Amino acid sequence: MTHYGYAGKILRLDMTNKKAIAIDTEPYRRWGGGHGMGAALFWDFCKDKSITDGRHPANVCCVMTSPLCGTIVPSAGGRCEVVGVGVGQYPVSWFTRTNFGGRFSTMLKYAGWDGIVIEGKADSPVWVDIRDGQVIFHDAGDLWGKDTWATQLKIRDLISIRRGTKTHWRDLQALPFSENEKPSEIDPGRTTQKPAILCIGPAGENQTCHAALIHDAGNGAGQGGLGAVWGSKNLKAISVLGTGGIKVHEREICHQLAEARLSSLDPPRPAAQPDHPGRPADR
Amino acid sequence: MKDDKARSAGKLTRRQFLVGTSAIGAAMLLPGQLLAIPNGIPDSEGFLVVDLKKCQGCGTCMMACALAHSGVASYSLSRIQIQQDSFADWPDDVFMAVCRQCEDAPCVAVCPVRPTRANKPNPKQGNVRMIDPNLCIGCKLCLARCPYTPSRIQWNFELQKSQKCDLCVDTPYMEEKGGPGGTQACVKVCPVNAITFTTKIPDQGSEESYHVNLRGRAWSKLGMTTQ
Repeated sequence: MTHYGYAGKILRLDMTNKKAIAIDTEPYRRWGGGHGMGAALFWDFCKDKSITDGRHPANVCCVMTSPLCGTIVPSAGGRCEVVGVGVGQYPVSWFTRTNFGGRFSTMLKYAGWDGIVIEGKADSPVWVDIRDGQVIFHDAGDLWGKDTWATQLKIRDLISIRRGTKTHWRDLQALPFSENEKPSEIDPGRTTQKPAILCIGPAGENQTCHAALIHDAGNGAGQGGLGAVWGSKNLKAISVLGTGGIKVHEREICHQLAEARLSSLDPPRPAAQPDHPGRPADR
Repeated sequence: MKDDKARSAGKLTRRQFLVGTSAIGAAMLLPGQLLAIPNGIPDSEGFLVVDLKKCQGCGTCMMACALAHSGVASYSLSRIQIQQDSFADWPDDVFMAVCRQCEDAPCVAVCPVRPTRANKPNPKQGNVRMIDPNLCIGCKLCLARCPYTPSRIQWNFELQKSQKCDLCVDTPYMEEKGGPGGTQACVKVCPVNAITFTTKIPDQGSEESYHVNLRGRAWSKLGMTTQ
């Protein structure tokens, strides 16, 4: 069956056994986008729904895309939803959600995944490398303690992605692998792009309640302290590099939507906009 | 001794013969561009020029390009490649790799398909340098020959053929007519108008000639530089 908008698979990361399991998106399509599908996945895979702290190993954190992610639909095409039981200052934490922008949701869908369900707890720090259909768990001992920018730069170095722009096309198969992993035969994709990396910094590692998930330079998912949930699962980062594509049903409507945004680029500026105190008056 | 000299003056020595023939042979084998022999192909009637300081790196043009040509939203199938490094400073954080439709296109010269080149400008399509997927044998020679980084020719791993920017001449999934004189998907969808189409050939000797300033009054009203 052709999936329009959806990649068709959801990735389950079993952190306890360091195993990746692919499940079908089809049963979850009825829940729509990232928030709906994420909540449904949480309900199905969270074994103990009575937990009141996001740091509990039974907690499940879902990083979900929507069917509009990875398309040219203006504004909606780049958001990525994260759901799970959060970590708050109040002793009892509830199921919560947050989201972030950037290239992560697009890359995740081009790699062939509609979302990631993070379950269990790893015994030592790990980071997860996703290259199209291939999912590799790496030891994150070297990354632990680094801030979010240093972590992302280090991961780029580890998989031999050059800094800066004007880089050559890279064959996914030609990127370095850990010793015990063999490159798969079926992924001959090439890309000029950098991997999209979602990671936590020292706040997440120390499981503080304000810990955010950071992607690229300034895309953050800060609501609910889900960075602490990643820290409790010993998950430092997820790096995604995808070379596939997403089938779009109404291609022409997509172009028209983008054009509609273009025509509203130079709107009349509102005369009196409420300003926050302390902002210079001349602006 | 005298006899030897007279003899060598009259006809070629073995050494002279070898040097002479190898020079002729090398001249025949070398590609035309190295010897400054023009390809003899007419100029393209259109070019895409970009503003690197305006591009926000959203990737809409890449997805639109792949949508118009292949019917899927994808980065790897896009004929325009936007590269981003989020940790670099403006304006070095974004690079727009767009095909230059070169005057002496090396990708056209190198195509080994005979008698008709798979990568041959079609006068009916404004002499755009474009690869005919029906003729392409997937040898990747043009891909390796493109002198720019990243290569402006992509490897379509689904079709196992090379593909490149054709200014939207061959767009089965776009309703509007493309090519020079028509619309280009990337120009149409760019939210900040950082790509534009021109019929004037940019300076072929300079790498920077395809990078132009497209920032106008609206841009300065947003508080950003137009310099």
